[in-house]
Amino acid sequence: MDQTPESAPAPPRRPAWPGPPQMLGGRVAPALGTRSGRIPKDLPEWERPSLWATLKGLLVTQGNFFKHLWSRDRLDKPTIQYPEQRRAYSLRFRGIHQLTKRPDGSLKCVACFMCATACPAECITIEAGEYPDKRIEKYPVRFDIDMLRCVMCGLCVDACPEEAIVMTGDYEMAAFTREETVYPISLLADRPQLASTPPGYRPRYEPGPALVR
Amino acid sequence: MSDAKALVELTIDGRQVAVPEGTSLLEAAKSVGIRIPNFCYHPDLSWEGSCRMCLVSIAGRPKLTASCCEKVAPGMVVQVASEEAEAARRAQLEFLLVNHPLDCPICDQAGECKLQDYYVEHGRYESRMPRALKIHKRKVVDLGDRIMLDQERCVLCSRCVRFCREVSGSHALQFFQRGVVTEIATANDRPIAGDDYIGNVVDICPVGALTAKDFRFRQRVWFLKSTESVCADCSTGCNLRVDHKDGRIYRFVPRRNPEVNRSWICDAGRDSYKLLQGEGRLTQPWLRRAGRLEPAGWDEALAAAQAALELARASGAAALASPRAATETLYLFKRFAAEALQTQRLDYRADGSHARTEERADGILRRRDPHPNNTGCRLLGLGRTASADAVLEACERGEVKVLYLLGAELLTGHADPQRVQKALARVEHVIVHATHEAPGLVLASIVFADAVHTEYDGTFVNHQGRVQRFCRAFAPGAGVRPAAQLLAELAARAGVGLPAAAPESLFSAMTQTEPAFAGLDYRTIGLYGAVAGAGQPVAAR
Repeated sequence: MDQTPESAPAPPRRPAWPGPPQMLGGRVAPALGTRSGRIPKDLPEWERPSLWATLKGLLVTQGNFFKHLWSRDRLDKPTIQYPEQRRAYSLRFRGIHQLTKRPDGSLKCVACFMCATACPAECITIEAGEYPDKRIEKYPVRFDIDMLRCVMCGLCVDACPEEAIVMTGDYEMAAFTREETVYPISLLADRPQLASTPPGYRPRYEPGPALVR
Repeated sequence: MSDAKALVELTIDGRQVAVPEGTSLLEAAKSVGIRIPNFCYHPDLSWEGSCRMCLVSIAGRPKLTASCCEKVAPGMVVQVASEEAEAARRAQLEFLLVNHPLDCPICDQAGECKLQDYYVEHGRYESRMPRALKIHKRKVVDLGDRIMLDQERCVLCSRCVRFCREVSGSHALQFFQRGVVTEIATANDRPIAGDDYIGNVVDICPVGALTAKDFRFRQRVWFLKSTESVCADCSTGCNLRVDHKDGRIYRFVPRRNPEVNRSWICDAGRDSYKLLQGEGRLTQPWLRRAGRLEPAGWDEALAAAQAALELARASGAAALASPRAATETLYLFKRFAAEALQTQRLDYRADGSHARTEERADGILRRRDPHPNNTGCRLLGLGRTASADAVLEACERGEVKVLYLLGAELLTGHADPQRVQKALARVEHVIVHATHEAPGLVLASIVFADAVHTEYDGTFVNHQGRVQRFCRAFAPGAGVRPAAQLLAELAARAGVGLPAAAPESLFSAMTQTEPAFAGLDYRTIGLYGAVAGAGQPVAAR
């Protein structure tokens, strides 16, 4: 479509919406533009229903279809055959969270609520408890992340003073019920997929005791 | 108070200040909005001057002075923001932080910690102290049912020591050792017992050394919303702050009112929030059907009450107010009894607590009357009959067909439950507004689930006759309605015009018709309350 020069008069504005289709004796009134509907006379040219415009659009689609069918590009940029094949993501990929552990296998998390405070989606629910070891003092009795609310921003990882929460490269979190999408400690710290998951967003990337799995 | 004292004029940071004689420099500065950092100073405790955070320069003195325990003198020229004083405070803060643990993420005080605030305000962020050299003290020291002590976090301000010495009198907490290893503790680490006010040391602790077991780890303070309220656990009416989140109360914290509770609150009052929620709360109306109380909907309960009201007007009723209700609700109830029930049998003294309103339970705050508003009932003149027993006698004689109870005191707190049972057996309808389940409620025929005082706005009148406002922290549950709302609706159904249930309109109607409340204004009662009867001493009973 041609650019309208600034000096030219403004294109005619679309007429006001005539209102919602009205219920007439249980039948919906015909919508605007249908055969029995009223077509406003003062529509600009490009909004008028026309056979030529439809064919023009189809031609573009067809053109691209044949171009790609016989082009070499098709071989250069193959479709990834997911789930058999997977794309390699960056080490900073922000996938499903992981709660990390100390060498003795206990959670590093001290339930300080910094992640819950930083979370813009308010998807983290923590309940704290008294840890038997007085040097640690506090630990999460409950730590839930509602994956449906989570926006995968990684602010929880930034806020954590203990490197207790990091993100992984795992992004498969489809579920059949809403309840399944709330990940408790058992899933966040010990889900079986963690063994084969590449690392994701975390404060430090070097291997070492910082991230005991 | 200090009205009779002469005013002293001085200059603080170039501003002219006039304060009563004997005021500390710190208070004088506060009165003109100049805040001086401090840990050990507390307006309701003696002056100590141990934390050295409040140092200021005074013209003509070679050294800095602790402003918290220096009385004002005429013509003093004080500099809070002088370079010297700032440097001294910064140095002092660094000293306090030398052995302080890096605990903030797990410390309950974080968010309301003075050390944290001052450190952010003018501290050095880079510590010059190697972490390995820090002196460690004991953590998680269990001091009985209420208090958990962390000696590392302590800044040795001695507020708790002074509280136990001067206010509660238990002398439970003391300093031990000397020098850098000085610590707060109880003798032989014995748990604190027999101090009914010990919860206050948690509030006055400026850091996280003393934390409350009840609140420990339950919520971070920055998530909590605060609402100003009044304690409803006895007739003293201590001012407090309700800290809550998502319709759940996490703690009561005392609010300073020099005329009532200073900065303190007893442990029973502090715990009373637990009674207000959860266990035993009524969540819907109950209705007697075929001799049994059953859960009912609001429509049927209201219809039943409406029918009972018609019977009441036709063949005799009696009404008992509740000293747990807000003054506005009581006023509405008084009008309700006279106009909707059309009865002169009105009383509030069902459980005898009115006689103990002034009686002290201990030498500090608590009183023996467990209800917050017996004085309000008395000032409103709700004791129309000779006593609550006169109402019972009328019931026994069969003169009362409908008994309307604003609270469950008669059913649960009367000295002679058997007599109540017998008398109420002769009454056709017993309508009661109750907040909690109680065995006595089986005597009722209609039970309305009532809101507790954190769920609506209103006032209580404490034993001094001081009218104190409390504010709604959150809405009551779906099946619960404040009594005032319900009384107004029932009256409207009966075709009786009563003022709207909004506390403000009820209060202004009350100030016009009730002499005891004349001259008061709901909006100007303010934070410290106002004494009913225009400041005149409340007459003895």
